[in-house]
Amino acid sequence: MANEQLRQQMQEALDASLSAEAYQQLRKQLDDDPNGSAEFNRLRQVDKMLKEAPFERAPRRLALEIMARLAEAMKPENLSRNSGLALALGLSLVMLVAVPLLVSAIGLFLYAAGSAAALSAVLHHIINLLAAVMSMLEVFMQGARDVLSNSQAPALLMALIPITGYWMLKFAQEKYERDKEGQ
Amino acid sequence: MSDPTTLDWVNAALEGNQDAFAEIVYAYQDSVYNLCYRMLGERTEAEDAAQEAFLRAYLNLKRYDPARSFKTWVLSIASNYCIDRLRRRRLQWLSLDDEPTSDHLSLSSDDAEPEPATLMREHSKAIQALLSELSPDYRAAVVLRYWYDYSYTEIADIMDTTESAVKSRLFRARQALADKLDNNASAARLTTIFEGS
Repeated sequence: MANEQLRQQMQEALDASLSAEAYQQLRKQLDDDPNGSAEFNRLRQVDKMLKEAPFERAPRRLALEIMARLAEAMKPENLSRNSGLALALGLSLVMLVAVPLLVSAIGLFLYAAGSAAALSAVLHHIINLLAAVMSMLEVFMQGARDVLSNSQAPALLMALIPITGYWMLKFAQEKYERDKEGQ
Repeated sequence: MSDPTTLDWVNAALEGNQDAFAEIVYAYQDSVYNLCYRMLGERTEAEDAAQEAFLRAYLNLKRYDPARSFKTWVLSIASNYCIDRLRRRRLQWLSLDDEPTSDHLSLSSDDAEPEPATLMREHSKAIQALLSELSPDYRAAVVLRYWYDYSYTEIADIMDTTESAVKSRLFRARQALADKLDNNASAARLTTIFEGS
């Protein structure tokens, strides 16, 4: 059985990466080693068989089948699964943002219930906030779509939720206080 | 790097032009199919794998780096898919406690003088039978080296591994095939066919 170094040289000889001198040395070594020589012959046989192996051509229908599968995959009903997922994700994100807003709005509403002017102002703010939420919904829907194509989007969106919630709550309180001071 | 025509097709396909992608499929289908066939050893399965590889390529076209050869990229998708498929197949076999056999290795000796096409088909099948005895990673290295003439660096890129790992896989694969030649009677007949052709 050939030793590891000899085997390594045999493999390198098959890859034609041995120098002429090293190859001659290998041949000389194999002349004195019948087992090694037999092994090298088998390796060369394998190498020759693989080099002469035919290249299998694709059946003619393959391209048509691929394009048919592609067209099928791109059909609106198949895409709707993705769209549905995006919608569900978008709505969940909106809910996460809307819940603290609604809680703060209810708090403000109860606080202002004693004053007609304050109540009117609060209702006005709530309508404004709802409009803001609607526009956010659009932004989040776009974000949810990005989730499907961008692996970094989920992390970004998750980071945006508390920031956006905090910012909107702060804005609502400041606006309410300014309006109250103005009155 | 891919040729400008392929890059044009890729850009058009990215803009939703499916005809451009069809051109890509026509250009690379033989390469992808041959790789899948040599990896999986069965024509129907190879067709299915080639279809899957192109679908994956289409869906991930945005991730294709134009600095890289498109053929290398699509072959890497196909080889990874085939390796996964072979591993799943092996798990199924193991779960059935039924090792794969080399039935398709047997060569017909009824025809005294086979036609060249038949002979070629027999060569192809017999080589396939030998390949099927290698592990998926070794098989991929052999196929990429011998059928596509890729360098160790290119194979390492396709298989997402190191050059030395590829070299070692190829060396061991050749050694294993040489041992099979010694032990396997059908493979010995293949040798006879090759020597006679």
